[in-house]
Amino acid sequence: MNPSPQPPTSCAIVVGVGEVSGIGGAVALRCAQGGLPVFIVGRTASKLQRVVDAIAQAGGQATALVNDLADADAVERLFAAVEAAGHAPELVLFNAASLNMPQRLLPVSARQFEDKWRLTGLAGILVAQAAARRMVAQGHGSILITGATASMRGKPLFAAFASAKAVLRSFAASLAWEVAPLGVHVAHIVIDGMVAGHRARSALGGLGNLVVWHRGQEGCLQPAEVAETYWQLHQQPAGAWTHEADLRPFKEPF
Amino acid sequence: MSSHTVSGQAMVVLFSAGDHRAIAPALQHLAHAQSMGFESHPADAADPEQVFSRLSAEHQQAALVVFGGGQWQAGSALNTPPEAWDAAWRSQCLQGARVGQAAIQAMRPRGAGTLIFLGHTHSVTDAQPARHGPPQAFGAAHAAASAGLRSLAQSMARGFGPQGIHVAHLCIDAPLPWSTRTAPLVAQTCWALHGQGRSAWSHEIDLRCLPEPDDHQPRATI
Repeated sequence: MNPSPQPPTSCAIVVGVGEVSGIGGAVALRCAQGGLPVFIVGRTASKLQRVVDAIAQAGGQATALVNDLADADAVERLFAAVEAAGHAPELVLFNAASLNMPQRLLPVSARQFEDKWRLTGLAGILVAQAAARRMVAQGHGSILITGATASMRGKPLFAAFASAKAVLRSFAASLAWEVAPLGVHVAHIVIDGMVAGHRARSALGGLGNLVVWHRGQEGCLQPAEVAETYWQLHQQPAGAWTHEADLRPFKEPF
Repeated sequence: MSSHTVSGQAMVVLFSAGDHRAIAPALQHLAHAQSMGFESHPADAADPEQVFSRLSAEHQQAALVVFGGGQWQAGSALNTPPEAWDAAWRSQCLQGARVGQAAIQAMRPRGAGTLIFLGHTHSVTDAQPARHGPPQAFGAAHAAASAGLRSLAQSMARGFGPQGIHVAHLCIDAPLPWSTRTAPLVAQTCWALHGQGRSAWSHEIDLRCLPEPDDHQPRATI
């Protein structure tokens, strides 16, 4: 392989992108508006293409990468593809997670526990490690990790999901402590509420749409408003870094 | 498996691994003092469900179940390899879930029983900045899996407390593996939790063990 003649250009990698109206899609758009070329990573090519189109329409530059994050090799392929395109990650967001639907605790099988762990926990660790290795070498960069209410406390209907999220949060705290002195900013963002995105609206056979309507426009987290905070975290100067931020609608009880 | 069981008895059932194994004799001693039976199994027992269905078939009641899984290992968040994350998750979260599910299934018909998960200071993520030393001396995978186990304990406590099952998590501040001095103190606290009246249950308590005066072995400081 020929080395790129140009020094690599900074870029953002957003892992866990579905529809345009979701946290992943909104953060990708915000990064593009902030002037970073964006690589968006998800499992469904057609959804990614819609996000690429939306970013292009807004005058930004985006590339879709289909990846299932199944193991360390898959994650390495993802970062290798970005490097092959002549880019170096300046901001990496891990936003993937298993679908978080209520499930009674006793019948949860070992297999179901494992599936939740692999995508919600282990994949996040592998993506953040791959990002951190590169950012430590270049001496700068931001790693953002999307957390949830479940990262903070276990509830009986969300036991497997919450456990995987708690593992990821602990890892994020350890990584932040480890790489901050090396110039890399790690932040864990706790999303405490329903996101008014496509996943919520289409949940429970469209019933989710009713819930979003009932809570009102600002009773659910608006993806664009969430994305703005993610972007601001990336903008923080090295003298004052946030390692954990919570985000919830003004009328969400907590 | 060591067992001194009498049919029809209330039982203390321990699942423990290397780091926590020193608790076995202390717990056994307390069980016998209360005329309860005692069984000790490895934390990674292949089939925890089978343990409880056998007890049930023998008309024995799992009154107190204690789980302490996993093996502390040094390793930083950045450099711990995928297999080590997976192994840590398997030994604590997955196995803790299996033991917990099986214990709860056994306790549910009676609407009584105590299930205790043995955790550490670093199970609580917010307590992590208190750690000291270089990152490679920290056990990042063990800490993360411990946080996952703590989350499971919360889910189980909230789900099954109202059904009469007392689920508790202990945040133990002591070097791993436990010394023969630490283990009886932990066993004593397990016993006190088991004895709590159900109008005033603890779900989580911390336990700060004094440093070992004569301890020269290399251990994890957490």
